[in-house]
Amino acid sequence: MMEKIIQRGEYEWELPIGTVPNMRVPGRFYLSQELMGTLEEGAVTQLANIATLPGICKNSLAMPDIHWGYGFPIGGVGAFTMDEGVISPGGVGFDINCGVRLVATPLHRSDLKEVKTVLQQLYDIVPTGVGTKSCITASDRDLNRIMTEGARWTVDEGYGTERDLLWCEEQGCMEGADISHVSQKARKRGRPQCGTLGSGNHFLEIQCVEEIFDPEAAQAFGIEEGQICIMIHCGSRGLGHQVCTDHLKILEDASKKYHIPLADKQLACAPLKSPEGEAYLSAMACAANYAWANRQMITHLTREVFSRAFSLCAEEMPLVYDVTHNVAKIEEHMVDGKRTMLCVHRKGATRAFGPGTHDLPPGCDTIGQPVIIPGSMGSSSYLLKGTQGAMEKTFGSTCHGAGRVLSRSQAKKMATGESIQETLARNGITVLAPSGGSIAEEAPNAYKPSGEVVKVVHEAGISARVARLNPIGVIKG
Amino acid sequence: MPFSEREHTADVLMHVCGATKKELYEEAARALFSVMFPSSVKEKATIHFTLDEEDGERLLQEFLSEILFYAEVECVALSRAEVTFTASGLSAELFGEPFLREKHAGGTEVKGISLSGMEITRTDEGWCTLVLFDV
Repeated sequence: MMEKIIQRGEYEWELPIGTVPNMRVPGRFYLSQELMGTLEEGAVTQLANIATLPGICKNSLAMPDIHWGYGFPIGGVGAFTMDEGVISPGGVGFDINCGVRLVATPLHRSDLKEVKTVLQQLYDIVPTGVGTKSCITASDRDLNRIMTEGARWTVDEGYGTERDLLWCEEQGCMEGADISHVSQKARKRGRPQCGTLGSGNHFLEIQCVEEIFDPEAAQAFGIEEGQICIMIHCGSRGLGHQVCTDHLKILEDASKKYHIPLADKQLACAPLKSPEGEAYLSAMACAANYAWANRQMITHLTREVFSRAFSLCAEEMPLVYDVTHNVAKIEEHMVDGKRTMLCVHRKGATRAFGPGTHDLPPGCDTIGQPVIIPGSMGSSSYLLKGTQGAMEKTFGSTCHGAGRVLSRSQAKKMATGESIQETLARNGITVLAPSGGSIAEEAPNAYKPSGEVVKVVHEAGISARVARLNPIGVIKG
Repeated sequence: MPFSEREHTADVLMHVCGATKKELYEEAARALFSVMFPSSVKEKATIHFTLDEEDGERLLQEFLSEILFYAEVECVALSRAEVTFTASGLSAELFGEPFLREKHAGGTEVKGISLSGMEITRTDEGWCTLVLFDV
């Protein structure tokens, strides 16, 4: 398997047709020589498997945070033509619209003397970990609006500003949401959870802007050196998980009905223009909208803490941007010189639209879309911008994070949560979590170095560095 | 036969065995509980559900998915499952207690049960499969 990989550029590698049987197009991934040692055979097979699906356009793709997942690898991107292509929950994941947002504050590092106090207040107010419920229970009517209007509902209810919506991918609302394709089970799970962080790799961090690489873009995004920001990473909670579970079953049957051979059962799919495919896409949009409302709700809770602690108003803590990294979207891209509508699956990958494209926030037409890349708790996070290179090479996509290299059990064997907490504290990073285990699983060395991953996307031209942020306070889910 | 964790980078991959299909299912549930509720859980409450599905990987996947649903909406910490196969699928009893943050926090939320790599096979000792939990 690994011997079939062909180097196509300093940071570009190809999986030729035939790497696994029935590939329709070659696979392509982005990685530096330094990171080649982290590439797993399981992830390579999964990248090749995407290329076996009907209607795959140009290449199956993986970003430098590629690692072994299920269905698509993490970091996987697959674009499918509307007439022959398919849609698969294996290219989205259970956590539909898991994503990241960055909130700016007017504070500078010197203003934040008591990080621990603020962090503890955030920990007390933002429900975190298994079995937690939101401070609000959405009514059935609320839930209908959350699923169809996304972040707009949250803002209308007084949990955000109009400006927040402009600085969200898709303005925090995906079109095509049809609540009739969301089960009662999914609704039941969704009602008490809007405004909860969840667990695993989800987090809320207080960060400080350490370095600006691109002053013009940083200014457009409202970021400057020394500034305190808040990063929120979470998704669509039980509602999204249930939507995936429900439709996986329907799509498994559909794969048989439409005679689509599957290299991996999690790649269960249906033609985009089939009733089953359309049903999944519209239910997925409902879950994506729920996730935006969820992140907006957590933003509100965070602003409340900062408002009380530093006498600030919401307008002084604007949203820098909000990106989704687990989703499938219908987008227009240039294919062989023609404008073509495609269904782009991004599983652990971020949209990175370049200058002059649509859905860019105000004042960013010549700059490109802000892209947020979370690091692991000890390492830097990055703010990037989308590029023309991404439009040409990756259907406007880039990486979504550092990417794991150690399994959770390996990470737990290497260090205890308490020892990691102490080490990070010595480096000026305070960590709060429901247990030591959840810290150990997310140990900084369980991930590829975020700087190296970002270097690859920058050098490969599929996004460009704007700023680097370092964590100073971390809440792990 | 107890379950054992296998290496998987992103998620939790469990190798589960049972002398009988019933044991296989109950052990797979135990593997799931070990991730979600690592602290000790008393058997004070029960949840009952039935599934209509043909025997095979899909029944196991649905059984574990159903556990995720009930654990969340009933807000319980769980420790054990009892499975009885029926003519149309299965009947399950889950044992646990109301979830208390101070007692049961610290587990990892399982987002879903992946079909990836799941294949129930007959062995000399009974039945085995891999199960992947998305966390």
